[in-house]
Amino acid sequence: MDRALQGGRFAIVVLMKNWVAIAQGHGLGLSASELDRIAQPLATLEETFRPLMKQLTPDMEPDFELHLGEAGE
Amino acid sequence: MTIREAAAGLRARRFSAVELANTAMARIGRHDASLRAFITVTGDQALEQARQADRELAAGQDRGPLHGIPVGLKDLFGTKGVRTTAGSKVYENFVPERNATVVEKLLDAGAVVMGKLNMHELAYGITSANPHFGVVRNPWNAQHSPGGSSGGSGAAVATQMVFMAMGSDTGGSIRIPASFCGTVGLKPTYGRVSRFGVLPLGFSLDHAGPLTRSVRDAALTLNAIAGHDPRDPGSSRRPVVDFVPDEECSIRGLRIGFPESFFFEHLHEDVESAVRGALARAGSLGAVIKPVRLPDMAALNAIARIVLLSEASAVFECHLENRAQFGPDVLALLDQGRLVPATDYVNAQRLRRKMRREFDQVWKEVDCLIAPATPSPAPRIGDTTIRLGGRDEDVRLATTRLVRGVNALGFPALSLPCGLSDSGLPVGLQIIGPAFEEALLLRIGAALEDGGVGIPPCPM
Repeated sequence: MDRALQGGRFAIVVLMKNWVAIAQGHGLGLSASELDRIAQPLATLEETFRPLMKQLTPDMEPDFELHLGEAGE
Repeated sequence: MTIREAAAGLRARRFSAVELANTAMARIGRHDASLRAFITVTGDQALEQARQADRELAAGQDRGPLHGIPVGLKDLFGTKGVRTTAGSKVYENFVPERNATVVEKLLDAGAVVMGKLNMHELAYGITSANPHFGVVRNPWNAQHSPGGSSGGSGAAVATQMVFMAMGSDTGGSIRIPASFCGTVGLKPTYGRVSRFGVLPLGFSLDHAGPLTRSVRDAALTLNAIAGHDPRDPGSSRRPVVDFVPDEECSIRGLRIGFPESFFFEHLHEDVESAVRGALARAGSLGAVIKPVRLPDMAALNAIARIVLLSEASAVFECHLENRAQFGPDVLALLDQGRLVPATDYVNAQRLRRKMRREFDQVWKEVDCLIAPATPSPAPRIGDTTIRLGGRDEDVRLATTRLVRGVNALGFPALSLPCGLSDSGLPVGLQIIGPAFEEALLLRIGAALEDGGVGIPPCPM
């Protein structure tokens, strides 16, 4: 996250990734149209996903195996 | 005819399992060239299984209600000696050496397997417009999509090619085709039905379940396929129960959650009126309809998409050197998944646990939720956007909007038809409940069905 000046006040903003640059950096060798086809949906998804990071605290563990209703779940 | 009716007919000797299989073959022969529901028809094998069922029933060896019943399998359930493609070039020549656990259980229950059903390529999409095995069409209107990814399953059940078809659901892939094709579709709790031998898409999101023509048929099928399987690391040890609702099942006093925000926003008007009508019917049957506020479902969808992008690309990365073997939509998703950082995947899994705990509060207030399964009836084949509630949406995102989050939570969900649109296409609702409460969902679904919620049979 970063701070940016908005209308004379500081606001918390979330830095979004440059998915085209990331794809090029991965060396996927995609055409411009293929790059657009993957970058735009990722950017839209990130608009919703990235702000959720603010909800995470260090004690929150991941849920890789999804064992429901067992072992204390 | 339902499984229950056919089972009764078999035992009353009104017809034989061979006659049922031949009727199924005739319907496949009549309709499949236009619907493209099947990838592989195993007619000879099915007839042999039917003969065996007749012999066993005549000898008094009764395997239960699926004995002698024609069924189909989405073509990602591994079948010994029968090609299993997942609708893809990747598995085009894959012939498993053993059956998936679900297939074993269905065969043990005496089911007659008519063949392997068409689907969206790799189960990674919702149109079932398969670039390798043909475009599956909606039997209610061939210009419209059957939904997906279990589109062949939906079309085959709706047209009575089979009594039950197995599907898989990673982001709505049972409930969407059930909704669009006017069938019942059950996504059980994660871990309730074994995934062993089912070709994976998203390890922590994949569920296997049936599409049927009645709620009780879905329950009968779940009775046959549920249970712990040590070969599936995600399989639950929860004991199974009898899932079939009583004849006179009641929902009096049950608290049904009405999640107006999110689930009733940006809907096709025919969907909204049909689902609200079903809710009113539940109320008239004695259920208490309670408005309920849910955790952030849009956030949950984003979490589920991050998890799926990552897991699916992990599964198929080794095949991506040969890009020409994938359809463009699937290839774009696999490329997207390769770019999601590991930190996002881990954090999505952390958020997922948090969301599931937030839902614990919901289940203290209500016993289940009733909501639309899809925000619109089936879109036309080839449409990429749809206008809902005054805004244009990507068809894939709109179609999965109301179903995807439940996969991340692992909760069971039952889709059933609740009306027809003005254009004559089915509308589906879904009943969502706490983990391992399939019996409750099936009871509610059966009560609604008994109470007149439903649609006429598909005219095809």
